[in-house]
Amino acid sequence: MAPFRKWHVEFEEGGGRHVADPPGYSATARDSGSVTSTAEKRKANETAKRQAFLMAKARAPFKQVAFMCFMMYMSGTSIQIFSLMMTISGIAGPIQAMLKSGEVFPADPQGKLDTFSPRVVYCIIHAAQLGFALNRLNAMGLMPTHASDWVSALAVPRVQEFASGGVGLE
Amino acid sequence: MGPAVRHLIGLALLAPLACAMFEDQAGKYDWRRTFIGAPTAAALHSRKPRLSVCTRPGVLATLNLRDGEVWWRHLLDDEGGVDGMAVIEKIGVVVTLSGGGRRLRAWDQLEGALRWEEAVGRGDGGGPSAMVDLVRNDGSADQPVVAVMAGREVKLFAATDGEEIWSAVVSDAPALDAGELGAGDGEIVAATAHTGSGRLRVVSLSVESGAILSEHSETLQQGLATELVIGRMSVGVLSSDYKHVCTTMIKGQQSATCTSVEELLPGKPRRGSLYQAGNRFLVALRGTENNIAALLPASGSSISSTQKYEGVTAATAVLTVDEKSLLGIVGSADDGQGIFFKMVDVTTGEVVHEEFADLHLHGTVGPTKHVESAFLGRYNRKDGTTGFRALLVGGDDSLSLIQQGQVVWSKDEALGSVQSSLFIDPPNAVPGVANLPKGDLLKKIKAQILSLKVQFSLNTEQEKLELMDMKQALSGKNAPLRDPNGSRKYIISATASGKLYALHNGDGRVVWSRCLSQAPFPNHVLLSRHSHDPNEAPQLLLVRLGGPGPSTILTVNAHTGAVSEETVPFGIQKIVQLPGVIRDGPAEQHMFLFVDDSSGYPEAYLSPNLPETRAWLKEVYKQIHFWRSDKGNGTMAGYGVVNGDVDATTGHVQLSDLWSLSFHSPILEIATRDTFDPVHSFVKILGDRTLKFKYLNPNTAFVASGPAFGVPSEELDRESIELTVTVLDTVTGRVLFRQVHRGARGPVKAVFSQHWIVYHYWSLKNQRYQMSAMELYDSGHQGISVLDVMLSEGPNETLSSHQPVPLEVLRSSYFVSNAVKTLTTTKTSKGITTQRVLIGTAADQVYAMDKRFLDPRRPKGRKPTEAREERLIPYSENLYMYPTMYATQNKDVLGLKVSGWCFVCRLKCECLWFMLASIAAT
Repeated sequence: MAPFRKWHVEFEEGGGRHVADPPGYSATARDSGSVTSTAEKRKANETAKRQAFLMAKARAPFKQVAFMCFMMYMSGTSIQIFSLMMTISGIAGPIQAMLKSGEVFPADPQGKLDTFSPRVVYCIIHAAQLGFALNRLNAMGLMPTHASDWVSALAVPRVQEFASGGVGLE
Repeated sequence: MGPAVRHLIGLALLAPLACAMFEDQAGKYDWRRTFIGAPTAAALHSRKPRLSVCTRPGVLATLNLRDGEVWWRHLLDDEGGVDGMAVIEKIGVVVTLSGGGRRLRAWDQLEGALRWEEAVGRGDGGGPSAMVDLVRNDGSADQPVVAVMAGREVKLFAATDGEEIWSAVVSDAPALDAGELGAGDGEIVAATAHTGSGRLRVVSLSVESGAILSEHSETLQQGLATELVIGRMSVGVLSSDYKHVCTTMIKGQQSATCTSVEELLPGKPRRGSLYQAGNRFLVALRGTENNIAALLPASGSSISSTQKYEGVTAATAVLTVDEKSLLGIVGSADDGQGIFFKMVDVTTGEVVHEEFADLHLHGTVGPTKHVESAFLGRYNRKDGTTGFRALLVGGDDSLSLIQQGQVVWSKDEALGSVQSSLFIDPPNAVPGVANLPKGDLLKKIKAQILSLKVQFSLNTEQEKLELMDMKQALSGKNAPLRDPNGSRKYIISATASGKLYALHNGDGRVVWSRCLSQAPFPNHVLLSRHSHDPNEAPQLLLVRLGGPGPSTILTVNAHTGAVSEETVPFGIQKIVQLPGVIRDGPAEQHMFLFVDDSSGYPEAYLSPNLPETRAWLKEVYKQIHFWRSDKGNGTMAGYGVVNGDVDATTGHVQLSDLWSLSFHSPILEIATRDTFDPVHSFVKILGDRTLKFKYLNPNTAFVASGPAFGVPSEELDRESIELTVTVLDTVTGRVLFRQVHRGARGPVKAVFSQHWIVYHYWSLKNQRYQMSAMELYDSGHQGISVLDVMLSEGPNETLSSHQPVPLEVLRSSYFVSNAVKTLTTTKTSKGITTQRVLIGTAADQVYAMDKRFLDPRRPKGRKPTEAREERLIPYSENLYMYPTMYATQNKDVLGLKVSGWCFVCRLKCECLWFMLASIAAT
């Protein structure tokens, strides 16, 4: 005697469902409805968390930049080894960071994560440091922003006439 | 970009190319040689080894007779040089008459200290001057005195203190141009003459009172040479054509007799000299081929063959030995090797002593010269006999002492009269000469040991000298070859005596020298052609400036001294170096305009006169201008080239008037920019980073005009005394700037370089010397931004005098304590290094003043930030001269006339200086 079973579902391949789906039936159509599984929800949360993590990562240099700017401010605008080192690292750091931002925010191979926005934020923060550093450089007088910095382009003019009193005995 | 980063970047970029001097190389002089010039009079001390000379450039010196070392020398810089010298051995003084017979001075013969000085009053100031020393008995004792001829008067001064004893008028003739004094027995013989009319007057004066003992006048038909010779009984003079010797007795009224000496030398003699020979005279004639001297007979008989001496070029004064009157004659030996020196008994004409010396009077290349004058000395030999020595002055300005047929010492004094100099590159390779000397190891070790000994002061003086010699020998700077930095140079110098030298700038040695054959000698050296092929020698031109035509132009190979001559039919008063060159393969030929303005209007001649140079001038003639000045009348005039056509035969270029300018007072000084003056930057960056554009038109002249030099200020209206300085354009004659210094006058000395002018003058108001600095800026370019410079041509235009720009002139004045003889500036190859103003002081020293002390932007009062950034020195009304900044250190350059010729070499910061004086070169 067969065991009493009200209903059962065969999950094994080929088991219990050999009947073809009716026309117009879509197995995936069930998922699009309000009906979601717990696993799917978990999956979505994970993506959001990863996105938030990216943004946090993008904002992370802010404190470092602020500290760097403070350091640059404190080192002053006089031309000394310390202020020059601070300013040069203040310029070189953001440039390097921006150039390497692609490595910091690699593109998501599944295309589920938005890496562009955090990368932009990241670059803006570093650009702010670069801007501040350039401002310090300018305050030090090391930016070629005056005509006097381009005097090598001003050649000595050639004279068109020649006049001489000659050499003679006094 | 701030200055610090610019410097850092600049240094980083230049690091592989850096070449510079070491700090200890800066400001040191390499060598110094001192000269006295060729003697015109000399006195050999009869007992002590002393020799006193006075020379052509006006130097009085005492030398050690044993080795020719100069014990002391003084430049008697009165106009006219030294007119007479007498050594009074009894009181150990040398008495000199100088300044056209106006200054009588007595110097200690041993120490050179001035014992006394007297001004000789000359009445109207003209006429001849002469001096003789003698002894006067004032009743109690013999007193040494000197008699001075001052125009028409003869004055007697005590040699001990310079007190004037008496004065007597010896002539009332209106014009006198020759005179001589002689000392007889208790009398003074004064002979005066006017050479043009042949009028001769002989007066004998009493030494005691100055009373006229005898007098008579003659008029000789033959024109007179200016040399009057006073003998024991008579006065002799050579006729102006050197064909007669006329003599007249000092006492007695018989008329003068003239003896023909024409038979002595066939052809026209070039020169003649007459010497006193006791009761007779010795005449020496110089021809083109040979020279001869003869003793004139006492009576009217003809000259016998025993009294003729072949080859004689100079004779000495008469010396009495053992009651014989002897006279020395000197000339070139028959075989052309060396010279002879003979003593002649003037009574018999017999040669009593004869010797030959191996003395050669010539340069390392070129013709031989003769002995021009000789001075006799005597000494007592150990065997009790009398020996003779002679000081000989050669035609090459050499000074030699001969004794017993030996040349005891010889000095070349020609470099004491350098007229013009030029630095040139030495040859690239000389066979057998290495670029760096290869000293052997032992020699190097010895040098190190000596160096250590000197460092720890364990050396002797001899070792110190030996070390210096070894350092010189082991140093590469003295190699006669070109070096990569261009620091080794030859200094080509032309002297007044017609000698040409190539000196090595490392140690001042003579690389080659050459006697030029015929006067008038050239007085200016020019670089005519140089090549970029280092094996080709530069070519120089030697020109006589200021003489009438025709002129001789010498072309000289600067490495060997080989000379070729060319005669041009015009005189040369000015030389203009034209701004172009004609290229001939790797060589560049410079072009010149020789200007002859002896006729009152300038006539220009192109040199070299070649088809290429003519074509060049035809192309650019509209751009070529010439100007000249008449300082006395205070005028300047400018000329242009008419149509560029050059006469193919003579090279004549037609000039036309362009402008003329009158300053209404004499011109005291003109300073112009060197057309080829290198300028590094067009702009000056101020502390607030704005730009100031320099006014760099080289056709600009600075002219100072005011009351003429020499007119006493007391004779002028004190309120109207003012010095006007004018900056003008020499192409158009346009006055760009003018400033008046009230209460100031000359003498003015000025230097103009790049965009600045510095001048020195006397402030009558403040009774001090002042120096003013002026900087010229083009104020047409205001508010230039970065974009203007980067995106447009901006101010990078050509300059033209016909398109004047607004001029901004900054100026400041300072008090200085020193009188200035010359002003010039340093010059470097790129014009980058901060310039120094070289001030030749009245004490014949050269002070190198940093140009920053003469910056008109020196801030007055509190120093603003911009001034601090520019490192401007705060203004102070006094310019101090710091002892450490004297380029000559504790040495002087006696008779300094050019405070320094700076020649650039390829190192940017190195500048070679050559200071020139009539007496010394440093």
